[in-house]
Amino acid sequence: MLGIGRIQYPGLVLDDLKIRLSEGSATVDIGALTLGSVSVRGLELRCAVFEWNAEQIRCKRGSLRAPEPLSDARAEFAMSPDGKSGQLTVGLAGGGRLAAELVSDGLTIRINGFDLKFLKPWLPDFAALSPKGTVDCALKVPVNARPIPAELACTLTNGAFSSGDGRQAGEALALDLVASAQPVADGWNWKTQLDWRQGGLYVHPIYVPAPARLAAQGVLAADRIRVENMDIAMAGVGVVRARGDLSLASFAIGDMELAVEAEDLAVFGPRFLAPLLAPALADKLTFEGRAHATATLAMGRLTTVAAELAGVSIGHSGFDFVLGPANGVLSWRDGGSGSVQLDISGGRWQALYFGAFGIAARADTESATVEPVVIPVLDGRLRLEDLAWHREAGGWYGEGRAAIDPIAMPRLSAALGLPVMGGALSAVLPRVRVRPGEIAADGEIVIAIFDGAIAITDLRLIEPFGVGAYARAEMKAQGIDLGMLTDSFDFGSITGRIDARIHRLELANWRPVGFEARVESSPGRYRRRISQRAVQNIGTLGGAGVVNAIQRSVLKYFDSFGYRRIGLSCVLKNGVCRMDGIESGRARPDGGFLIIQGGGIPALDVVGYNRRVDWDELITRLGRVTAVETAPVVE
Amino acid sequence: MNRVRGHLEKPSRILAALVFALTTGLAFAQANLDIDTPAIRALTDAMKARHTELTPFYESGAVGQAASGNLVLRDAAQVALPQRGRVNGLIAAENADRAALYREIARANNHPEWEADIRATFAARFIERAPQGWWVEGANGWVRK
Repeated sequence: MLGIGRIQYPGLVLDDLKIRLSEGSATVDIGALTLGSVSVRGLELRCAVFEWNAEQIRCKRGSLRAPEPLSDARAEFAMSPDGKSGQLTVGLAGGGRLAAELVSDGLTIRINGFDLKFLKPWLPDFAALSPKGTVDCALKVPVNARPIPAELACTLTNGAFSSGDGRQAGEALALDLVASAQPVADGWNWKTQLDWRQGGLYVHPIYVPAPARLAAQGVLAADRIRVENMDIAMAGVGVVRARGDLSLASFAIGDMELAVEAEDLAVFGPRFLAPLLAPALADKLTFEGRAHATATLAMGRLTTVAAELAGVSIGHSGFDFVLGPANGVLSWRDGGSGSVQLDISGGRWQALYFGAFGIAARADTESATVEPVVIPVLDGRLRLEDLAWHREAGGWYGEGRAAIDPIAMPRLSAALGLPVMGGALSAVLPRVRVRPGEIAADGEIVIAIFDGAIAITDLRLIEPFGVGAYARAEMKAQGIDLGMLTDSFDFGSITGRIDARIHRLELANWRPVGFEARVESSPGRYRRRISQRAVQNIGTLGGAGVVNAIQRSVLKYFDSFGYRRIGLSCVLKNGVCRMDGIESGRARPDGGFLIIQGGGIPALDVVGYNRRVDWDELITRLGRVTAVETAPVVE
Repeated sequence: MNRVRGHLEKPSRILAALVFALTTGLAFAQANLDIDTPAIRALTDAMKARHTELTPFYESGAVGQAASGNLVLRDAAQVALPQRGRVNGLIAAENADRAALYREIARANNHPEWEADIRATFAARFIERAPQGWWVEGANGWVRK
């Protein structure tokens, strides 16, 4: 038996080498083979033919006993007796092949068709990710390592991996890797370029498709990789720069600094931001603009984040809402405070545009305060003051004050797609409370309109950001000039004034779905006339029989009629409006209820007979009579 | 003295707890879980529309009904890689609608404080009504029905 001890090349060490000879064959024991950071113990090579002479030592028809993927591999080698030149070929499990050649200036190792699944026994932590794929590599290690570096070029095809729960996975991966490394006192200085050509990666909850390019350099020491500089570039998305360290054994990130240059948020936002920040809205959120962000991690834990926004717009396609473009900064510190400083150049909700405003807020993990916000809306302003938030078990709770400085109704009604109305809308809401699923306001919104006023109180928005969003409120209108109102809606003309009260108003998708409403003539002395066309339209709304037959004959002789009182109530529930007239709960002998009590000359009563009216039908008819300039048809 | 007080206190405390449990339980037992409001209709319509899209993922075991009354991404490996983010979004949207539904049913019953009980009842309902082959979270962890 021949004991050789140790043979050492840069990057490759054979320890405890022994050769046992017996009549033309031999057994070579290798106590440990160490290639880079990977060590294999207990290799045994049986050579059916073993030659040893002055020119060479040669093993033919060898078979290797070793852990997978080398087990039962066929191996052959030939080397010069001085150990300075030689060749080795090993047939790997799964059809791969390793060929090594040692010449005077260095060692070349080529691996072809190596199946990654055979890495399992060597890298148990990596094995938990069930790696698959075929690797071809060429490694060149110069004998005299300085100043010539070792070079590695690898290609992965059909690569895949997956954690047990599928939250970290890659599929159909194809990539090219070029790396070089030079030994230094405490390890290797390395440089690498990775060209990810095909496939997709999923790191919960983010999916990233190829391509991307990575360039990095750093130091490999023992079981840690220090990344001194890494650039990942994805076309159209941006660039990520990083420095930090990574444990090679567990692939765990230690300390790290990251800088992200998102060059196009229209791509970056849906891919990275929406799944992380608002997964429920991911398919409805839209992004535009650019952002620059930095983050630091300590022992794998996120410790600081800072972002700078340039021309950033965020929209919600479902609500037809857009905010921005915005410029500003956001910052956050683990366990400490966060702050937001944004200049927003405006926004739009459906057809309602609002002007430039700023937001400045500070927050920690339990509370947040927002500086007063003043949002120009048409010619008025929405002011939000003393906004403070705190966190409770169920989520974030907020409280503050809100006010609307008068907005001219002609502009507001036009923006909301309503008939143009005069007047102004203003609001004083001394207490606005926000809790999960609900925004409630104390105070009132006042719309000075049609020479009277509408006051909205007890406003509550429920599930405001969901599909089941609805609003509840109480409404009171006083002294509304019917002449101005009917002119606005092109309904025919009614002169006079009304008061109205809408109790328990409920709007879903901004359409009324429930209320108890009552409209009646305001007290006082004023002119009370109703035009022929208005009577006709009330007839159309209420269905047949609203104006009785005798009166119908009167209708065609006069343009307008006098009246004494108007009174109408409607209780809307389950899509049906239950109607009543001037004298609630009392029916006329003919079953009808009086809506307009005639008075003066000529006088005319308008009587309703249909107490249950389908709400949608009523709205359709109302739309028809107000939208189309119909010539009154008199029977 | 102390002993006597202790002797008296213990059953009275148990009785108080029992009365409390019974009255709140009784009160909640009167909750109308099938109450209909436009908001509940909008939420259940959205959930129904989403259900069709989620069904293959219930069947594959990728998504399971958790004991919390939420959906959970149990086994992402059952979903084609490019679809995993989408499924995660569907789960988040469904859980947001479910939270809104539980709140709204409590509100419609004029008892917002019943939300947690309503959630627990619905969680049990979702698990009980899940067809065979779907994954549900029981007292001893995840099981396939």
